[in-house]
Amino acid sequence: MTTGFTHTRTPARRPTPAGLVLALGLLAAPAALHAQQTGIVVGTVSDAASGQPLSGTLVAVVGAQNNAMTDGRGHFIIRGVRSGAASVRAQRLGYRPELRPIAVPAGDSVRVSFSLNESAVNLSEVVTTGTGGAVSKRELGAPIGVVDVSQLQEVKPSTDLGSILEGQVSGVRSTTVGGGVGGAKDLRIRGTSSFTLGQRPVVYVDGVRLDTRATDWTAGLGNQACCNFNGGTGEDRLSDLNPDDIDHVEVLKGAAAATLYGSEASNGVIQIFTKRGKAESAPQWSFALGQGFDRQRPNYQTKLYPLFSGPDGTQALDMNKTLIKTGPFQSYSAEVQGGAGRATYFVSSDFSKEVGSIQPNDQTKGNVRLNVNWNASDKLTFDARSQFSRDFINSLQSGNNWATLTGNAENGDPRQASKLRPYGEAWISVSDIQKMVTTSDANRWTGGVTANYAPAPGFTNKVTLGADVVGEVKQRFFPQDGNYGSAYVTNGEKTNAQRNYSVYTADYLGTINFTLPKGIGSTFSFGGQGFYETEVLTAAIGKQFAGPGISTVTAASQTFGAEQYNHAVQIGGLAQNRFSFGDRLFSTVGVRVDGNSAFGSGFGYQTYPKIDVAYNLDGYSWLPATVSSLKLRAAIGSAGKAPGPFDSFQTYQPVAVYANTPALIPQGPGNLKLGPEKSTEIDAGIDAGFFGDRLGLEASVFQTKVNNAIVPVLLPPSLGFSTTQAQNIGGITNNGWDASISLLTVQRASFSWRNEIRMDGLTNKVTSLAGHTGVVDAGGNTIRVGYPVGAVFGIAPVSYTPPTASAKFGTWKGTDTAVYFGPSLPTFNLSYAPTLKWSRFTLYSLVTMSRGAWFNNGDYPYRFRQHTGDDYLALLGPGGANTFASDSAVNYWHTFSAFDSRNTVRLRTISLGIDVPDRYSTAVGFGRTTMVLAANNIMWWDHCRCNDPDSNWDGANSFATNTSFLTDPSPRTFRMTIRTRF
Amino acid sequence: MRQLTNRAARVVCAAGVLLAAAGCHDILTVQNPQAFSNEAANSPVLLPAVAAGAEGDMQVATSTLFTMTGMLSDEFWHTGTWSDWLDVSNGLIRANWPFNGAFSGPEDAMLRARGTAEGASKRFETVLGDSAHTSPLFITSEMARAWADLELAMSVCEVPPTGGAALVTDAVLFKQAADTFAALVPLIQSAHYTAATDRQARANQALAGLARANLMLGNYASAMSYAQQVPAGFVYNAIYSNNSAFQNNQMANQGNSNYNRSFTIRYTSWKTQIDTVNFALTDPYSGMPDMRVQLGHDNNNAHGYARGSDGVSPFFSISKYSAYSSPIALTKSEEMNLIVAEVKWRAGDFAGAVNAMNINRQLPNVALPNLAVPTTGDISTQVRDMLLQERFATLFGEGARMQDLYRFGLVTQRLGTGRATKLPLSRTEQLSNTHVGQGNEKCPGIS
Repeated sequence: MTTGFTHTRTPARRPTPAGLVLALGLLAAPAALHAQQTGIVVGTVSDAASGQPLSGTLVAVVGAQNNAMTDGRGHFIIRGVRSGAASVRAQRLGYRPELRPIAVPAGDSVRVSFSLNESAVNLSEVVTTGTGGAVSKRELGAPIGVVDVSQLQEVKPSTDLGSILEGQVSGVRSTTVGGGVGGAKDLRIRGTSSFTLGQRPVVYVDGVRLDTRATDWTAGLGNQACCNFNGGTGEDRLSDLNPDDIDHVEVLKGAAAATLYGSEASNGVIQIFTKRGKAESAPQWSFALGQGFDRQRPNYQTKLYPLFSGPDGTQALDMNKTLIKTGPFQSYSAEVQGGAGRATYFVSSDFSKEVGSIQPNDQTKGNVRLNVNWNASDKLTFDARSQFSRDFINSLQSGNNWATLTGNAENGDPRQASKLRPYGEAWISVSDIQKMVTTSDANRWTGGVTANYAPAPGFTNKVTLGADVVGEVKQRFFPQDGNYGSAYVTNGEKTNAQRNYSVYTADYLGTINFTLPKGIGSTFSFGGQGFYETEVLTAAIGKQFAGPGISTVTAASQTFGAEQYNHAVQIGGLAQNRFSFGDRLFSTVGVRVDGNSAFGSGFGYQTYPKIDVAYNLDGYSWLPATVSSLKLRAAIGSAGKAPGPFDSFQTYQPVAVYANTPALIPQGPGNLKLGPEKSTEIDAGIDAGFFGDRLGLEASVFQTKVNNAIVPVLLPPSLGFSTTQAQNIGGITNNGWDASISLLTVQRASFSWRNEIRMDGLTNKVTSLAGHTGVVDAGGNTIRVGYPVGAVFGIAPVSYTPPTASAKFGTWKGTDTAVYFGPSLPTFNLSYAPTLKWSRFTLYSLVTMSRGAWFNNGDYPYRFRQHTGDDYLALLGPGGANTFASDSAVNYWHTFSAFDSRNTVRLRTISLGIDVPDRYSTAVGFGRTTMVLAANNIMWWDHCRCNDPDSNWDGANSFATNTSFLTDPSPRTFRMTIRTRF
Repeated sequence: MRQLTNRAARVVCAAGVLLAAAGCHDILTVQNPQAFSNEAANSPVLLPAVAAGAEGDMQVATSTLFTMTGMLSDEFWHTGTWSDWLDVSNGLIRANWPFNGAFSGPEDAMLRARGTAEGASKRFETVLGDSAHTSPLFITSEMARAWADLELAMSVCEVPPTGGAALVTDAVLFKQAADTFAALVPLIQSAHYTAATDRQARANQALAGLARANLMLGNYASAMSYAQQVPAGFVYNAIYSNNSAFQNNQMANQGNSNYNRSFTIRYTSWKTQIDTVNFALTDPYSGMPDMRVQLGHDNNNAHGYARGSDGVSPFFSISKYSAYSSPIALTKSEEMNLIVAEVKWRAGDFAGAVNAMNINRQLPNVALPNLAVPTTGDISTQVRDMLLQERFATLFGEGARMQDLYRFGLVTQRLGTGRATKLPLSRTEQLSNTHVGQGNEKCPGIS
């Protein structure tokens, strides 16, 4: 919606109502322009504790458009500042801002220096996402999380956004769920608020809406071999971004904060702010080199395999020793930034290649970015951003998939091992799977222009126009000479699929500051926002090759085509007013009204209101001295989620029948009254600082209610329609809390110890289904009132009758109906991230814990049914003979599924950063140089009978699929990153 | 002057904003180019496609439904990895089955197909008015509806007779199918067919349907009468194609080693008759391979195809359905001969019954020696067993076996106790049909 740190409001400069009228007169009369003399502000910013220069600090003239970022030496220059008295503010994430009064001489310069103290409290941070303009967090009643990505990259270098967000904002879940290198992440905020719609938050980069698809899109294209492209996990388009380009990220956690984003924001909003060039600085170069490797944890259930041999005497192989490889990683990045006169620039490029531990699987990606800022005048600025990326993934065959690579090995029967099938593979041999080629090749351009125009003091206008255009080609090739019958492929198959996606964003925001009677400050924001989104999916499929050596679609003897089309348009208007009652009490009232092409034609427009209050108590004499800052806040607001593009349409599907005769059959029943899901969130919390802001606390309790959740009502099949009818009849409630604690335990010039703890708890419940006690959605999942969305239900064992003459293994009796095991998402999450700095060394680690989630552990019984897996093999007798115990186990697991807890503790990151002494770096011609050694996802502890309790075969965005099946654990990665600057 | 220019520019901008706002309504209107609306389907151009959809949907639904009824009987068993298929194969499914189960999807598909046909017939009556009943399009949709009823009655113990209605027994549904077929016979004669062969084909389909429905209802004389009106060589196929996944014969997809290997002939029931040299079931009366039940098997285990996808069970390809485009006979003249044979057997005319069966055995593609009328022992039972064996071989993989075991009371003898004798109603229909509701199913019976 708005981008960048711009300016903060100063009451003294607020216009009176008369000034407001004058400002509004922009549309009717020319603004008077007064030539003024200007001066220059120069200075430095440093860390108060260490004395080190602080780069990337925003220094701004309060109440004007003039600002600058500090360079690597902490220097800044601001030109064109109106002469006279002014205030200059320096602010940086993680530091307490400072404000300095200055007198700017006409035609001359003034020097001012800042020495910022690290702070565990962030109330002075200025945020812009969903706030109707730049505003200090102290004035906000709704929670906004901020991640300083540029700082985080210094201690936890990551190559994708999802990894960056792991454990950084309370209430935000970002977890790898399988799929190998390039696999998507489950990214969601504050649980689940929909039965059917995507769970990902909407993501913007510098005000431009992004493609966030993370699910496989080939499944609906038909005519292909079994099981999606590679088992269900799609490629994550968020991983196209170059994390080194990101300055910081703002996270709106729910409807109360995200109201101004309307019918796309009930899952929250993530806004990414990319880096800008530093004004008035010579080109500053930064180069980074990354090296490392991926290595899977050897916990597959094949350790006993070598004890067995197949009929031809082939000794079975343990895949932990044969399929787990060391996958090399390399990355290179370069960036240059600077500025002259009124313009700045930031140019970057990067390249990385990561080879998975289970091969073939790798990801190669590159980015080029150009950000330009031009301060045309002290009233008018332009920001232009352009990024091109290419992301090539050689996908791992994994997940719910006959061609799963490790799944075939892990489900093979070692007693059937042969030279061609050394793991006793029952479906497709590992060697044949390794001959397959499954790729995704995405080219993407994202860019936009933002114009800021401040025609009069206190009156700003911001227009953002942008686009995100994605072209992705996916290919899957089964060679003719492999045996892929289980995947429904005979004599080879080739699929060439293409996804063309584009979304165009237009955004206008006007802000007027004025003063109401009795000194009540007022900031009125108004504007509009819209997007235009299209997605075209096509596929060409060739089946049955005449022989080996050919691989094009047209070379096949049977060729097919498929196409899918999606189109959505949204236009919304917004208005809000923020009132300030002195410098303590702030309140915002706002509303957003949306129309969306996906709404039923009889629905109309949707309105989303909000109100929030923030009350700052710091400075009151009655507060204990230990409390250095304190803000109480409360907010209530609504946001929505639009239905699928054509869900409201009643449709009759054209198909072919007989020998390819055109035909028409009922498809979707449609719903003319279909509207968006509307979430209303109440959030109350406290933001506080203690002991001179060395201890910071941000905590919220919230309740989110969705009273018109879209329920996929399955009409009786006997009526003929093949899809469900989307109806706004569901009720979902999320009750939760989240908290962040920052503690600067030690802060010395040569040693500091900072601790970050984030926690959240959530209870999700289906509250109503319009009279239904339970329905089955299109995926066959049960939705029941009183239970969480995506609840895990299943048949549980009840009793056992010992063997008889007619029942060799005895008889297990299960429950008559499916019983509830638990929710599919954690009810409690905790992350702990200590950072220790000593001299030139920085030690960082991130540990996470999650509790409360359950899943259908499909792998465990499956292996018994396949007569394999270490747990089964251990029950066999001498020579691999079946025993009563082994047969009984098979019998049992033929009867029941395994339901396990997803409780886990995971050591996500441990890293050591080293500031290379200048004498060494300069000796080889480098500037300031750092080296980071990092290990990620090294170890996890759990109670499940599985490889990784976080795995989910359906990949990201799947809230209803609560099964782990044939997926691979997220890999352990080891990285060394050397970064130097000139 | 400059002020005037600026003002004009602002007026233009303001007008542009207003126009854009006014145009928003159209901006929010999007087209779905991949499906037709209900109104569009009334177009005369699309009505033939509506009729084709009615019949085609029914045919497409057949392959998965026959897989399930085959696995519930002694025809097939599950050799794959899906526990819900295994539940069907083991006969464990019950009334009010607590989750969808493998049988729900195929059953839903046939219920939907009948709903498609029902909706198509209503559309023809609405759009074509008085001329609807003489339209071949209406004949097509009604024929599809009747066959869907018949296949549902053969497979499921109780179903709603029309979309969203309360449940009726399979016997009521057989009656409904018979009534529809009977109503179609005169309509077919008065319908405006351009080709006599089309009229004759539809007439034969209706007669064959009447023969089977009456057989199942116990109206044996009528059944034989209708069966005898069906000419030799007649076949009504469900047609499949490689063209799209929608058109694929799913029995080929799951029962053939060229594809997946998730079901095969029930090994425990037929292992003594499986001829792995000639790749066919051995005819018990002649000792010769019965090519009506061709089976594929990889003796050398070179590709692991000797076992099912479960890695354990012996696997034999159902050669009859070797490709996605392999047709499945919904009915054929051979079935009519067997209906005649059964009616004669029930009347005590054992020689007549055997003669009727031998018509099939003498067909060129069968070429098995004639059966002889038993002369000793329980002749009726022996002829009955011949009939069941002939029905098994002739109608292998055509959705008849489970109903045969059920109606002859042989489930326990062939498969043991504790097994569902027919498919229960799908959980989807149970939960979504307000006339049914959870826990209200009354069948199937258990052996």
